[in-house]
Order: sequence, then structure tokens, then C-alpha cells
Amino acid sequence: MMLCQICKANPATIHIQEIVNGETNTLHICPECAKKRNLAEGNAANSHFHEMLERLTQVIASSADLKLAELFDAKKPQEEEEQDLQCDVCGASWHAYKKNGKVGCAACYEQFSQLLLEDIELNQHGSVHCGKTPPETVEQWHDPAVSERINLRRELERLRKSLDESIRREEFELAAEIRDKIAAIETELKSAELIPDESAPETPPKKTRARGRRKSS
Amino acid sequence: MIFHPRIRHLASKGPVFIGQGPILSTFLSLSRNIEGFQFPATASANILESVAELTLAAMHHEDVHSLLPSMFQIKHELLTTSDRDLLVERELMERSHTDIAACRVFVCAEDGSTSVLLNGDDHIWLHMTAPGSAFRETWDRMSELESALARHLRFAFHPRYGYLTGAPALVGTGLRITFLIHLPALGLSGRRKRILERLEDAGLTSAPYFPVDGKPAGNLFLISNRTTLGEREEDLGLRMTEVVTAISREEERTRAELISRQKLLFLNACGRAYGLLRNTYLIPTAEALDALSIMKLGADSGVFRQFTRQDWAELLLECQPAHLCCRMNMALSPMERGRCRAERFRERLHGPEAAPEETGPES
Ligand SMILES: [Zn+2]
Ligand SMILES: [Zn+2]
Repeated sequence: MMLCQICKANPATIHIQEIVNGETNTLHICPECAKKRNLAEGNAANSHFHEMLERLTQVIASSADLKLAELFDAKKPQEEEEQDLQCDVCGASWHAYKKNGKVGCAACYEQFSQLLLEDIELNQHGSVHCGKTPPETVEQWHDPAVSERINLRRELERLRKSLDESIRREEFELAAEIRDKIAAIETELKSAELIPDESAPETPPKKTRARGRRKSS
Repeated sequence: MIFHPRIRHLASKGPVFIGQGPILSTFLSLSRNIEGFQFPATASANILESVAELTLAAMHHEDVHSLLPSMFQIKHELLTTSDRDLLVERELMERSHTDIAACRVFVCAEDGSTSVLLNGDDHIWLHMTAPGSAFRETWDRMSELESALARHLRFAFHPRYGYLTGAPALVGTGLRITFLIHLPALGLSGRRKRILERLEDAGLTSAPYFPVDGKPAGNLFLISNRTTLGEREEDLGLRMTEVVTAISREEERTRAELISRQKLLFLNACGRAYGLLRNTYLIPTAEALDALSIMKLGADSGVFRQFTRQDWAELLLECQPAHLCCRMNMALSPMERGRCRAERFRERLHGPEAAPEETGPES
């Protein structure tokens, strides 16, 4: 389920497309926030209806024998476009998936659940997995060197974001501080490269391999 | 140097396309992602580097390492275009994986039976090849390797959808099973197209192995599963084995009929294919593959006394562009490739002992 982008508490049931500077943004919000924003469902529906009436009268005036069905058909693509969703976790969009067949992260499967399920049921043998399953216990993260580096990288991502933020706010002293921290982490990450490049068959075993062996024996 | 020494070494290994009869080989690939990390398509280089380190650390644990005999690892960006082409020709990498992208790492067992690509379409792509129709044995090997990795890595898994993959077309088992099959007789009889089209009804799909101008050069086809959700790995594999075996039997029946009815025409075709390859000085890929296809038909039917399936499989690999460049250790233009290819055929088919029995000089 997707949460409202304004209050981040209620389920988002209203999806509004806004065109800002030629870019289409989709806003997912709950009815309450919509009311506050003066975008209540009733209003939106009303304006839709107005638009339709207007177009209908135009069409009838210009060509008498145009079928009504065509008018409703013409409405369809617009409705489909309004259905675009975005994954809260990775930012991948439903439209992008429709284009290249790829989602961005594990959470996408939940975020696009209804639409994706329809797609999967259409293309797959069934809709429930019945093959191999993972073991109950997994000793992930038990390699301290690897998990430390992962934490450092996460910290790096966070720092880079706050650097952008501080520059935007023109807090240059803070920015300089953050920049130093980033440089320090980058050096630390580089100094202990864990993926050795084997340029020739004679290359002796490197760090990772040696550590792996010691751990498991 | 246009080839990495590791990759050059792989090119000297025996071929995998030596199955008895029409089914030449079985390829299995298995996709997995690590929980808590975005898929490669959207993840930052930082995240992907963590994924690569985490996976490589897991692979160096003894229980995983022992399943990848003398494995080696190379950063994808250090592989030349020729390296990557060679890996594709040897079925160790997919064509779609040859693009350079952030933090891709290629891992390979030294015997060339197993390869792994990190940060391709998914975090981990395990790939295995085996000669002939060999789903069960290959899946046992694959499953053992996956289970070993799963002891050290938590894979993204959903109770309903199964293993989560970048492409929902792979969700569930993440398993792609492919058979390489040689169907010259069914092609001649005009029934091949219809038979392959009917695979769609079984949730399977077929594609020419060497599409040249929309035609399947060499009469080689890949048959793969289209679906990955709602069926156990073993059930899918055994179902596919049955289907592929049935097609193979039909091919063999058609061959027998063709040979008994038109023996002279059949021998003529074998002799001409041999003559072409034996005497050519310049030959393009498609023509070589079509001639090799007839040579294989002859070898399977016992027409050639000293030309074995092994010889055939080696030639099939050796006549492809990257393998030719590797042999000459230099980049080659299409024209130069045509010349080197012809040279290779003349070398390999030189002696009179390789001539078709009935048309050989002694008879
Ligand atoms: Zn709200
Ligand atoms: Zn996502």
C-alpha cells in the first residue's frame, strides 16, 4: 500500500498528475490532504465533467455523425497515464516497467502489487511460487570487514546528500566539514579494496581469499 | 594484448556442444538478488560495490569455493570487447551482459563449466553448461551451489512471488533452462517452423542460435522456458526434457527417412559440404555454419569415418569471430576473418581419412 505523500500516515487513494515546467509529476495523497489542498475528489470530478460536456458540445457541433463511443475511447489513454505509480523506496516508475520490463527493487513488488499481479498472472504459469525456498537461518553480515565497508558506504551516501543540502542552504563551513568527512571515508574505502583484480593466472591469492579460508576452517 | 590471459586460457578448453544426436547442450542460469539492496538497474555504484564485496566474500567460503573449481574473478571493465565476445561464444556470458556497467564482476570456474556475473540484470547470475540433454545433473549442481551461497547471503524472497528479480518475467524460481538443438532434417522436411511454433502452447519459446538475415544459420535453435512462477524447478526441467526429447526423436526419424529414401542425394550433400570446407580460401560465417550443419548430420549418421562429434564441436567454436581473433591474437576485419576461418577448415580437414566413406579416394 502506498502512503500519502503529504501526511505520510493515511493511505494514498488519490493520484493527481501535475505538469510543472513540462515535466509530469504524480502526486499520491489521501482524501483529507486533498481537501486541504482544495483538490477534493468532488472538485476534480466536476472539472472533468465540465471538460467532457464542453468537448461533447464542440464535437456535436462540428460533426453530427461522430459516434459517442469514439469520444469515450479517446478518453482512455488519459486514464491510463494517470495510473503511473512510483516506488517510494527506489523511485522506479510503473511506466518505466511497462517500457523495459524491469522493476527497481524488492519493494517494487509490493508497491506495484495490484498492477504487477495482473501482469504476472497474464504472463506466468501461475501466480504462486512453488519452487526452492531460502534456508531458515542465514549467516549474513558475519564478515565484519565486509559489513563495516557496507556501513561506511551507507554513511557516504548520507553525507553526500547532506553536502548537497548544505550547499543549497549556503552553509559553506558545514559543507567544508562534510566534504572532509567524505574524503576521509573515500580514502578508507580505497585503502582496503576487497575485490582483487586477477590480471594473470599466476597472481597469488589476495586478502579476501585468505580471510575467507581462515574464517571457515 | 586484446585478450585477458585468463580468458585466452578458457578458449583452449574443450567445447560443450558435443551432445549425442540433435540435442547438443543444456544451459542453466539462475538469478538472485540480495535482500536490502536495490537491483542493479536503479542502484548506485556504492550499493553495487557492496553487493559485489558481499557476494565475493561468500564465494570465498570453503563450502562455496569447493563447488567452483579453481575459480577466478575479473572486474568486467577490465575485459576487452574481444574477451566478452569470446565468453558469449563459449556460452559463459549473455550477449546482453557484454555492456560495461558499474561494478560488474565476472567469476568463472577454470574448467569453464560454471560462470557467475555479479551486477548484471540481477545481483547474482549463476550460469552452467553441460553437453547433451542434462537437466537433472546440471540442476543438482546449480542447486547445490545456490544453497551454499544461501547459507551466507540472504536472498530477496517473497512468500507469494518467490525469488524477486529485476525483471518480473523471471520472478519465482529465477531459473532459465535452455537446450541447444540441431534440426536440419526437420528444416528440410518443412515441418520445423510449425513444430517450434507449437512450443508456445507449452510455455516454451525458441530462437535461432545464429540468426543471419532472419534465417537460422547452421540449423541450430535454442529452446527455453518462458515462465518461472507456479512450477517447481524439477517439474519444469523434466517437462522441458520430455518436449525436447520428443522433438529430437522426430528429427532423428526424419533423418532416417531422408537417408533411406534419398541416400545418393544425402551423400552428395555431405561430400559437397566437406569439399567446400576442405577447399575454401575465404568463407563467411553463415556459409560455414550451414556446411558444418551438414557435416554434423553426416557425422551423426556415420558417413564420416574419422570426423567425430568432438571435431565438429571444436570447429563450430573455432570458426566464430572472437575465437578466430584469439587464435591469431589480433583484431581481424570481416575479410581477414573469412580468410582465417577458411585456413582453419583446410588445416583441420586436410587428410583423406576425414573424407566421406563413399566418396573418399580409396573407394
Ligand atoms: Zn494525507
Ligand atoms: Zn522499488
